[in-house]
Amino acid sequence: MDLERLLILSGILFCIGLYGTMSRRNAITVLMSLELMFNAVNVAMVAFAKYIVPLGVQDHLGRLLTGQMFVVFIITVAAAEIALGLAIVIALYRNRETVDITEASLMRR
Amino acid sequence: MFQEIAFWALSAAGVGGALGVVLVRDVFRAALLLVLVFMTVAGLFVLMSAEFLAVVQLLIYVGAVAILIVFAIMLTREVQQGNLPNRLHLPAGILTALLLAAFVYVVLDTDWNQQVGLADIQPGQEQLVQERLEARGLGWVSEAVQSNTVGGLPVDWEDGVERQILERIGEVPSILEGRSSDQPTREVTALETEAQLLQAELILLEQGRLVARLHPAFAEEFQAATGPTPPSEDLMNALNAPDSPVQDVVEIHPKAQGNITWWVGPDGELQGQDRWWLVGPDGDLKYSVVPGQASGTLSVNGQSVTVENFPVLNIFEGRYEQAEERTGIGDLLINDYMLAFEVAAVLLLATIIGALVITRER
Repeated sequence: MDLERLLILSGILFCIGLYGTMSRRNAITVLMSLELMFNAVNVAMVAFAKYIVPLGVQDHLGRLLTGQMFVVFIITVAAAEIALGLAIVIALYRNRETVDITEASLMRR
Repeated sequence: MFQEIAFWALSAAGVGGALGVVLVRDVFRAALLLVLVFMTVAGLFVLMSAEFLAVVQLLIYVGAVAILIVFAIMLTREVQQGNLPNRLHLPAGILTALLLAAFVYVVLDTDWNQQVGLADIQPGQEQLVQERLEARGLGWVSEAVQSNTVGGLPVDWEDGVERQILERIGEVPSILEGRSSDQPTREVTALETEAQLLQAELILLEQGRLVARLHPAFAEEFQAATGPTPPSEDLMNALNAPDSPVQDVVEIHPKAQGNITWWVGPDGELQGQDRWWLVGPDGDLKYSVVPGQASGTLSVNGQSVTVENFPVLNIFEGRYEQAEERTGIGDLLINDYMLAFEVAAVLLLATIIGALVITRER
């Protein structure tokens, strides 16, 4: 389990998520792609936490868990984001009868 | 080997599932593939010994987020229209491909400051290893690295050093030939110690706790070379006394008859305090091995013993704390990250209120 290949896997997942976020019309797919990106970042965080020891804090207990703490909070924020995002999607659908985000142009100009 | 297979299987499933999430036309199937990706990420967490996060991943992502997404898909009834691309999908694809290429280049090009034990030394890293060993006061290993020898035997850098040192364990008695086994030289003792540490590391990883002992092969050969001499009863009584610095003897390896025995505290505590003891052939305390600081005066059995500056390869630091991970995250959350915890709780509350306000019927 090398650090490098975990980071590359994380990068692949992140790029797939980024592509989905930028290229899809369905708002729910965009949100799912965002979740993919969050997961990619989480994988990278845990990989760093496992393989990299930050200099200067080596004697601090639990130093190897800092990255995992980040992941805990990222998961929290991701859950909040998906709840709010889906609420917006449903509100959009109620007002416009569509979840196509290219139709959601109310705030343009 | 199992880890390799698991990693590649999880990677393939994860990347395939992620591609499916983005490319499959049916949004509902995309959501199910997203669940697959979440599960593979949980599996990767397990592989990286982050079991707690794997459980959290399953509970929150698979249990809550995926259900929420499926509900939203059902409520919006756009399954038949599907998952169409917008006008920008071609530039977006090119852009993300370039970004991925940049990621891969940066990851491969960076010299990650990984925590290398001797296990991970690759050919071409000799200079790096030498610097780290010297920083730890392990000049003798550094010299061995420079002269491409360990214990007087040549090192094949193509082959990984840990395994070679473990193989050298069998060679130590031959190094001892012509020398009194009561007075092993610093070089030989250090070599033994390193071999023990390497072996002990493996045992630590197996059991999730610290039980250091000698490599069985070395013990047998050494016993054959020196003959059995059990540890004195006085020492055992002193070690088991209520005021003994060693609270409990976890394990006494048969190697106690020979040269050195490891003693480990009740919970396998290693960090910070004097918990490692090297006991000589007569049952007297030879060295206390404290990670990063291996000298001082100790009192055992009514005797004050001056401890020499003993070279110890400090490969345990990281691994030990990994063994403590299950309780570690809770401790960190309550102690170090309390403010962040509170902020996250407030954020979740705000999210609940916000979602209610957004979806309210007018």
